[in-house]
Amino acid sequence: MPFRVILLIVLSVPIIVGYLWMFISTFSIRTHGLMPVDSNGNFGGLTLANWAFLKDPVLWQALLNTFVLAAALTFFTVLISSMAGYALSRIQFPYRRQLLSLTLVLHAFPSVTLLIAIYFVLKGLSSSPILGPWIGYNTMGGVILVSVAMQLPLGIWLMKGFFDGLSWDVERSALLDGCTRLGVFWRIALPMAGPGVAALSIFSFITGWGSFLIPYTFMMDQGSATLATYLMQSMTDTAPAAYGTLAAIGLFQTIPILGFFIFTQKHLMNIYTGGSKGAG
Amino acid sequence: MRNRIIIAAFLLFSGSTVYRILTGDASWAVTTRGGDPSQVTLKIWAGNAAPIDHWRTDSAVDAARTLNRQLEEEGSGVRVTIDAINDPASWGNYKKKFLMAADSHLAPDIICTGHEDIASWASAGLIVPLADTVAEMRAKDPAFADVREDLWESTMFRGKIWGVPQDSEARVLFYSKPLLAKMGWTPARMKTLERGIQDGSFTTDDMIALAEKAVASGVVPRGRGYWHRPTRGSDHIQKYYAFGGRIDDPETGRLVADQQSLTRWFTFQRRIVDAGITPENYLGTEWGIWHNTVSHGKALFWEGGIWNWSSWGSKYAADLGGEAYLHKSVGYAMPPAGSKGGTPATLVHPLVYLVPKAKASGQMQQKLALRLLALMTTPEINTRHALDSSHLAILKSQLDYAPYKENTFLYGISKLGGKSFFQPNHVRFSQWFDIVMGAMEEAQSGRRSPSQAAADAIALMRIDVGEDNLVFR
Repeated sequence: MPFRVILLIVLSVPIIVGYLWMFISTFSIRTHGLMPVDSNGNFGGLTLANWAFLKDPVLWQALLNTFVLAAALTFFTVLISSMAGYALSRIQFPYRRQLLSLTLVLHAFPSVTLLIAIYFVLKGLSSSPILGPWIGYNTMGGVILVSVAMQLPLGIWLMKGFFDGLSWDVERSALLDGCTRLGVFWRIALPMAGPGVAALSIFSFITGWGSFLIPYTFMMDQGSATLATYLMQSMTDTAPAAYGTLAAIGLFQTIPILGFFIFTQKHLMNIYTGGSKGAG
Repeated sequence: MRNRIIIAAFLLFSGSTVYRILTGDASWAVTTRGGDPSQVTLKIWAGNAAPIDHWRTDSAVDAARTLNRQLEEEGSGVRVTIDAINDPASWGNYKKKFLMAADSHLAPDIICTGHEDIASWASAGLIVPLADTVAEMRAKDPAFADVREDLWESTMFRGKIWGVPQDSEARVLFYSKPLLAKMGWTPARMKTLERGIQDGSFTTDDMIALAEKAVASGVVPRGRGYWHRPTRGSDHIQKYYAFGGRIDDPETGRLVADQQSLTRWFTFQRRIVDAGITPENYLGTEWGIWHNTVSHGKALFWEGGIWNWSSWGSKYAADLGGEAYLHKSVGYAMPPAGSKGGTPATLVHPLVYLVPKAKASGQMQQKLALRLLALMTTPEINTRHALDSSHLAILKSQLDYAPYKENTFLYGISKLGGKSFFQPNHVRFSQWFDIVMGAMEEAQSGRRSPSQAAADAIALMRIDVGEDNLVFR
């Protein structure tokens, strides 16, 4: 047991050091390793100036935009993935296996290689009646739509895996008692797959929260910038990066994720222990 | 029944969308800025913009106030408001975004970008030509007549002028005064170094020899004698130029494939490593390390853009005394020539304002946009940008404008003399550039000999740039 603990600690050190560096950098002009130093290399150079960005109103607009994107991405990804994952896990239909393989293929493409293709799709959607102004090019709806599509392969496979692991007996009993398929999914299967929903929610939220390329490329206005775009201001090619500010914005961007993780942690850690009687 | 209706509606929606994608029909997608015709919104974008570059777009807000005053005096009911975006994304993402916006008729009315985009964007019909000749441009507005003559050259393509210069810079050779002093150099002797570079008596050979001496005598550690830009970039082209290389041929308008000059340049890149004045595996050094090292005077010589000066003063060397410290400990001169008697030269990469066509912006406000640009091209407005971001004057009158003149660094650079040159506005230049950069990296890292890297570069040029676009020397 102590050996495992020591091994875990050793393996965690690089991650902990990374976070520690980020935290120290936010209060330093510069660092040598983990030590804040002045120009002569001695301990010192502590400052709060790296947090001055908090006074910038653009930051708070970017925060709101990022939250809307991340929340919508999480909601739709979980909704569609859980329904699709359940159907793929429980229902036999033609080309089921091929459909699963296809979703994996979609996941194999990095979004940067699909930018032009996505642009033409969004431009086409813009010209569609009624929904065009909401889900086309240069709309938040369009960005959410694309982001959800990119996230779905992972979500569907993840949720299918969770549903595969659930006992069929309870669902069968519910069906025999007259519950509909949708009722079984909503009242029985989904609550039992709670840890899967929690895991997928976290992954989706983190993806949406750190998303840069899709919202940047397909939204034109300054008011639609996300936090990741804001972060870019500190590291352009033409001006030297202000690493202290960069770390401070990075830490600021991480805080909601940590909060979200803490909030959903008990569901995440509850895998296979809740839901069906006797399981675990 | 209900399911069938839903499926039919879905198929109809999907079908019409797919049809429009395939046929390229997105006419419904074009949402021009309509509304009250007397209220005109001019959109302006600037790319790769750090906070210190904010005047590239914010100047338009000031200029719009003047424009509105003029319009009022003229009795016009039109009033202009500015929608400015200072885009922090990389140049690549910024340009991709512009191209998509232009395809959807959502491009801005004014876009600030590197002059090298003129060739491809003009060829694609995305931007309007502003004049046929420099004289015609100068006659359009007194502000344009004040622009430095040499900068108009960077906006020319196929015999027309396509942009208005926004800023200008230089890439110079910096040196550490305290380190040279340790080697016994007096301030007066340091001045002779600057003069020697100007008259071609101090060349890259002399610089290498001096840096080697600094390493040998322990004034600097091995690998800290000379630092150039640690990543790919236009700065390296200066060395190609210093060794006689030229990018384009003015007579034919073609790009130049010059194996001999490439070989001399690549030999220099490997020689600095072999001499121990630049570290082995130097390429790829993190920018933060680079700025901290050079701004703290821990390298004897380094080459870089003058725009770094304000960032060194306000960030990296702020607690050493900022710009006052830099003036005391950092000297600068033109990058030396590659051979005795040669003229020192610096690559200038002006950013320019371009005016997208109506088919790109969805607007018919090009004349108003040009009028706004004239009002943004004043000594007062441009000097604010120059001082905040360490860029050179683009107007002749700025050299007599007190706030600019009082900035000893910028004014000193403006007076350095030597030769400046631009990258050409050629549609295949980016291919040419990528090839020579790749070959330079191969040579400096030692993976290829300089002559082999040059030969490979020429062979690649034949394929990627195309023989029709090349002049062989």
